[in-house]
Amino acid sequence: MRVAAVGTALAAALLGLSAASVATGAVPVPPSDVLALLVGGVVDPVHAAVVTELRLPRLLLAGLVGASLATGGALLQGLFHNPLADPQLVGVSAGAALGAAAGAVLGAGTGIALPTAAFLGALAAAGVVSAAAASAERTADLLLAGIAVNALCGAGVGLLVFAADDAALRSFTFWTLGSVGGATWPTLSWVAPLVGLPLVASLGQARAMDALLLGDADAEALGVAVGRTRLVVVLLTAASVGAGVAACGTVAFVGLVCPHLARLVVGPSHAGLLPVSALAGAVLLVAADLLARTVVAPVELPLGVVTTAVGGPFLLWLLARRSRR
Amino acid sequence: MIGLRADRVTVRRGGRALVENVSLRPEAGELHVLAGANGAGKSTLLGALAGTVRPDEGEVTLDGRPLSAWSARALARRRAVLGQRETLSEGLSAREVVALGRYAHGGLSPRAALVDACLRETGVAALADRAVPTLSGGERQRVHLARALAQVSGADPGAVLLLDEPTSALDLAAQVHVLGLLASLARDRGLAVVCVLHDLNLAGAWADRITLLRGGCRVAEGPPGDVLVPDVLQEALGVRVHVLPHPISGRPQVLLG
Repeated sequence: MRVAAVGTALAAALLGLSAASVATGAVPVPPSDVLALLVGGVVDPVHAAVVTELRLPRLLLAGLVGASLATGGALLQGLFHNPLADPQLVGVSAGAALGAAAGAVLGAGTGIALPTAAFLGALAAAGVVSAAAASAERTADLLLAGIAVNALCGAGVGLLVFAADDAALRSFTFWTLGSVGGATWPTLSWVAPLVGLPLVASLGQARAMDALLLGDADAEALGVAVGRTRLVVVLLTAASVGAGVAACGTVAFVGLVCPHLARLVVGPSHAGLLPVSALAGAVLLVAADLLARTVVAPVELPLGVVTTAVGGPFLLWLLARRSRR
Repeated sequence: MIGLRADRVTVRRGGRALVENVSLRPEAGELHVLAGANGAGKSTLLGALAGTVRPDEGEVTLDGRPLSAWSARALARRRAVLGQRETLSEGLSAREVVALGRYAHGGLSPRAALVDACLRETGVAALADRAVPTLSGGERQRVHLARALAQVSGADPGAVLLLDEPTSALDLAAQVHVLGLLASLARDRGLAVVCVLHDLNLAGAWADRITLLRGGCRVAEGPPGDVLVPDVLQEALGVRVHVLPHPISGRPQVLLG
């Protein structure tokens, strides 16, 4: 089974990167200490604190958000019959960021309120984009709608940050370029289920998503409740991407790059595409975060700068390849 | 009341009637061909029979229940549709596309033997692992036909197969093969097969009944020998033709000029 082999390879890569990520930083922690920590052994208390309070939550957040964005991209690409659909490009991430920023200004800084606001923002953005690009088979319409939604949401976030000057809002950079630097266990306690459960649930839509590739009319004739499937997939994507954005801002291009690479390797059938995309997303974001905090240490690069450095050229390559056809 | 019944169906779009007051009762065990000029309403009528086009007047029922009362899944277990328009751009393999025919029948993946049998029946078994968008038009058409076959495979008699110009991209040998296949699905498996066709000679050779449409209205309906007559065809298609009995089968053959 190709999917199993690719999945295993990605999982191994993820494990290796995770080990490297936990060991690397301003305070290097020897691999032996990491290993000892995992099995409950005695370790230098500074090393223990650095790993369990800083690097481990950060690692888990990066992995979860990467998986969420990549799966969101795979789902949106299938839903819109559009290879360029991506939570960032179509504005779903920006909608979530605006929702979360608005929530933060209104005092929803803690608990479930922030991701709820992000979810509503993501949902609204997805709704606007779907309506504006009703003939979803025209690639350009969807992206133009995405540009408009991104611009509007970006302006909204900018206005909030400018007007609020509130610690809860942190910074414009955080919402637009992303960072997993603020990861804590309390954050993870809501991010993990809100990101993870929709991802698992979306696997249940895999065959319906395959049928949608044949077009709405054919899918309906095959027995897919097309309207309900679309609604469920949009809700799952908005919940997952929204929670991720609420925790670490918007991170560009993960949702574009990973599903494409996954499709090249395991094909477009969603039963394989979704889990492989999720793993690839986790790998990409864990690697990006490792880079972001090590290349110019002690300063940290915004996460979105690293993913865009990978994703921007990738998008140009995709466009060039499409226009050659 | 078993089977598909269209009762005085009218479909209007933009103030124009695309189908007007047409009734149709495709019988189980019969291959029923819809024929007519471009824009005569064949595809619209087929869409109404499939439930994808909602009639403005009249009603389509399956086993006595209006199509709108069926869930998508229950309907899909009772009837398959092969449309004309194809939107698949992703590289699903032929095997994966055919397996999707079993979507409504539950289970994570259908038996590989069933999928392979359907691919063999339409003559594309050798293409099973090829990505569908890389196939030729005729090959793609046969893959999608195999998908429709998979959907009605094992269905009770009286299940419905609706096809919109399933031979439009096929070479002569494949056209003959597909029509023979459709006729045998009707005869041997008890399906009601409704098929839009332009080629009147294919219709004459294989159909049990033909409905001839013009401007959304029914001009004639009956066995090929009753419908394929020069005066009726002139009225429906605006072409003067001759009709001769086939020297061996005796079925009507349409000659031009």
